[in-house]
Amino acid sequence: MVFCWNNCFLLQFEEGEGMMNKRFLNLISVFIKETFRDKLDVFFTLFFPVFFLIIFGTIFISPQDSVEKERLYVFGIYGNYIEDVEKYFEPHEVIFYESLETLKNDIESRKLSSGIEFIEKNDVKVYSNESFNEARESINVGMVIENAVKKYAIGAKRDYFNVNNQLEGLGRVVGTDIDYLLTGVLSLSILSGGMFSIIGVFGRYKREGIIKRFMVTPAKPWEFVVSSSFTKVLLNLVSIFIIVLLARLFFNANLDFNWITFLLVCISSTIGMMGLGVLILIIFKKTEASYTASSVLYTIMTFFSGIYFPVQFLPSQVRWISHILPVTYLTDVLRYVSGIEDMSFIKFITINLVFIFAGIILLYTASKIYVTSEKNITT
Amino acid sequence: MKLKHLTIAMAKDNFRQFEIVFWTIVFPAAMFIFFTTVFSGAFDQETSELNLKIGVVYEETLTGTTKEIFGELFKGLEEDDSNTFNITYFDKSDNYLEELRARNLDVIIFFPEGFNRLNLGFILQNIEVPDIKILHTSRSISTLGRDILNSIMDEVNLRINTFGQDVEMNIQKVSLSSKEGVDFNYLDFIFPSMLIMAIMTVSFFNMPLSIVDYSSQGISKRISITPAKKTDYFFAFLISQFLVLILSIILLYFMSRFYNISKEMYSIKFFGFLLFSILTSLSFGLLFASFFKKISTLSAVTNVMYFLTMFLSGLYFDVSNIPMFLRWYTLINPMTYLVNGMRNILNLKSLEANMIIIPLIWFFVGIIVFSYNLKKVKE
Repeated sequence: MVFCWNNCFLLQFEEGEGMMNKRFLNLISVFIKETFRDKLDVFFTLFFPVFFLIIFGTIFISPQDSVEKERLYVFGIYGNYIEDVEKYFEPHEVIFYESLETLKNDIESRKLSSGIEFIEKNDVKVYSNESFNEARESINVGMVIENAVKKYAIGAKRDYFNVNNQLEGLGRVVGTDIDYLLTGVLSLSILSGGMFSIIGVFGRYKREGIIKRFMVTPAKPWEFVVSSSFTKVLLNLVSIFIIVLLARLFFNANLDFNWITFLLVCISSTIGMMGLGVLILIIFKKTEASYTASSVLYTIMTFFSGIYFPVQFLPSQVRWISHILPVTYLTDVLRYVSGIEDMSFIKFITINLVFIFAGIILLYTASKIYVTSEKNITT
Repeated sequence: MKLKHLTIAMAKDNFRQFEIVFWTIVFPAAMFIFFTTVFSGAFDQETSELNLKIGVVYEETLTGTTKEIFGELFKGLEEDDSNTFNITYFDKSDNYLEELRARNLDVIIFFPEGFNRLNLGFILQNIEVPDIKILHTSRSISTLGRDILNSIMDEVNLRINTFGQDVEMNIQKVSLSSKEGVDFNYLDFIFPSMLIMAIMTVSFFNMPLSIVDYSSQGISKRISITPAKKTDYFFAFLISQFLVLILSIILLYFMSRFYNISKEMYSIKFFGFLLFSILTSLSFGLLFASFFKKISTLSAVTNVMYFLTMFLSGLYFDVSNIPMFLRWYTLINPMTYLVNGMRNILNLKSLEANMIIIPLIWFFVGIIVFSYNLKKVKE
């Protein structure tokens, strides 16, 4: 890595408070340039979360889905049936097939949720194309079909009562699946942007001797820490706004951000996640081991924080893990500031204060441990 | 003899690097355990530990047959051994909506005042019975709960039609994702994914990064002035990569013994296809090494390609119906065909022509491009 060494030479000749501010701004400029030269860092901070949003948004979320109504399915029917069979499947859509092969092909190409072949009134075959995408839903589809074919078999005359679904709003706006996904993606983006970047700042810079060279300049350790952290916070903010913009453009995200509190959450949580990165670096000492541990932790948080699927889908023995992950709480505050869920003001402030104070304390600790010329610190 | 010594030296170099051992051998095995533990019960209604928290609200106390029907229903749900439902009862004066918003409940079923008219409705046709309300939020667990309760109420209507008797039906379920007569098994879906993941780790990271690293450090040049032949060096390198991969595959096979995976994974056909997959993927590694000289650029590119390939090959979820702007990558990417080929073998289905032709094309492209740029590797 070629550091902006020229700017560091300038630092030697700057003294006094006014000059200190200029030095600080120079440091920020240096770190910004250095950050964007690191292609891997830019990819993981800016594009990786966008990639996740597009992948999961297109695969798992259907624009036709409405949270307000019961999920509606499309069934294909073939075989030996009487004319008004479709009324037993209401309100779901029914398509009739002349050919079993065509029915199977349409199930495999996902034009149909499932297919039913009526052999006799009390004898049916149900065709489905099970995949992981619709794992839980396939159970519900099965129940719908079973009820419908049984009603058909007995010629059920009527429903004795009806059911009315009523959506209870949790926040200022009604959140859709994409809104919940988006807040999860934002959480993971903040996590990766904060955690990985700070390992690079303290671990990699220390190993490559960058910090040692800084120590011979008039730059103070706190200036180094603050300017490098500031740059990472800035990069993270850019990433977050790109994600929100794309979600609004391509997925019609319904979020109603309170931008001031949103900015506060982004900054406090980035600092908090940086603190987590420092903690990992302190525990694992070596930069490569810290990166590995962070990657594993990132993977664990992806699956255990309830972002891509409810925590209830996990075995009961491991659900408690979600309660100790910071990303779980970060997702909650993001859902609050985006208006899709509610939260008490005290809880909101507490979570943000924990992020900020934990982050600042750990960053200060990192400056004492790593921004030093001591030779016995190995990374 | 020189080949043997070179191979041993390179293999030792591989195994000394914690990241190679962890990401190639340990991580796929850990992910296999995670995926099978979490998702293998997803398709099975009876083993599902959903723990859906249902609130039952009676605006007026139920009486007569209505009370009997719904009392028995909820008692049956509560006593269900699979721990799917967790039911709490409320009066109209209780704060059940607050419980729903605070996530202490996932869904509420509300019996309104006047619902006891159903007792008359059993006998007389034109009795107007108020609708049961299902109160839910936009959280995915809540909408799932809503859909499940809708199906349950539908079944209650059916049972009222049959005076409580079950309908004798023969419902045969046929999964189109496996051979007829073979039930869908999630373990057969995920095991090939983990094999491909291990193979990709070697071909996208270990191999090309090692090639470029050896070249940039001058190791290749130093070896070229020894009596060792260039072909010895090349084959030693390939064998050392292969050894790491074989260990990973052995570990996955060992882990699979604790799970119910198709015995076809021990067949000659499966091993043959696995070897074909390894050779195709390793040629990818040669392709990457052919184009990039700098480790930082190569690292960025292989990371992008790795994650794109991992998520757009259908390793973890079905991607056959994603939008075209993403699906083109699924169609040209050989990993899609390799993982589907393995799944077909495990599910006793025949291999399709494109599962061999497309990976073969990539194999030859990799070899030809690498041979053309062989100078970079031989330096």
